[in-house]
Amino acid sequence: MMVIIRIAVLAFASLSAVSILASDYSYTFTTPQREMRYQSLMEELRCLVCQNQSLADSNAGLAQDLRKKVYDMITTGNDDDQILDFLTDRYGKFILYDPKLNYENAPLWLFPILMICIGVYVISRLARRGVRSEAVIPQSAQDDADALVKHLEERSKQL
Amino acid sequence: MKVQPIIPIAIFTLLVALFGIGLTKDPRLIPSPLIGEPLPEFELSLLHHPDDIVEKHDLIGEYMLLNVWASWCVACAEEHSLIIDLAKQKTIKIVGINYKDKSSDALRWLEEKGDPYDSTLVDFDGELGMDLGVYGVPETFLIDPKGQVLYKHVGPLTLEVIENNLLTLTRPEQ
Repeated sequence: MMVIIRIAVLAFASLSAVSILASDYSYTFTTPQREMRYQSLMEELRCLVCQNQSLADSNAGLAQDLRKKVYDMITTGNDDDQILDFLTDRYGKFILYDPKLNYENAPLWLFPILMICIGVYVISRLARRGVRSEAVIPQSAQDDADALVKHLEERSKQL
Repeated sequence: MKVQPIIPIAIFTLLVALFGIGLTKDPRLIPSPLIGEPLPEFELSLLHHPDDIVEKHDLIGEYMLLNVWASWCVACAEEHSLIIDLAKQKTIKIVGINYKDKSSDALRWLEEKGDPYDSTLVDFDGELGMDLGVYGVPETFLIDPKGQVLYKHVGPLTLEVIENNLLTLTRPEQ
């Protein structure tokens, strides 16, 4: 029984080994810098077929083609901006996971700043109102104080 | 002084409205940067005559639909009868781009389902597909006589899309 399981595990392991070899992750680069650039580009580019995956994660056909394209462009000496321009010219800014500030996405970038400003304004208004309302003495306390003053006055008259 | 409840309610309503609008949109539809731009250059062989090479300037000169398809693409079969109907009307030139497909499969597919294309180009390695920003076949591009991309439709064509989004653009404004 154990032998069968071992054989099954070995067979499964060898199958998965083949599938790893078959993938296109085995690109080789002439310098480690180029490999790092490739890896970081893979992380910041979106697969358009499975939109919540980066090119590094996706196994869609298009992602494989785009990985190859980026690899080819890096090995032929293109810099990152040229590669990103190439891709956005064809697939639009949507392919970027980390788009730069531009007119279209400016509201999205500026909205948090706007919200912080509104928040600061609201809190400062509330704080000022809080100071003012502390100065207002509740009626019951006012009554107690009046009673105390009256009592003390009467006591001082008696003395 | 009372806190005005109208402001949070207004913000909430606005957010709900924004999310509501967001739900009606298809996140798979990505606006193409190619609209208004010239069709990319290419040199591809014809599916039926693999020795003949076709370039961009061989095709442009009249309104034309570029239909990117593949025999492995299920949705392409879905729109195919509509393209055949459109081809019968002879209102517009229709060019097929056989995208990342085996030519033998593609030829058999056309034989089985009918061939509506004036010509079919073989984009075996997806080079033109990448220049066109193709990310999900079928995709259909409307090209004007000067070779500019006027419209791009992603996914299977429908009668409404053909009439309202494609053919209307080819008619002179009244």
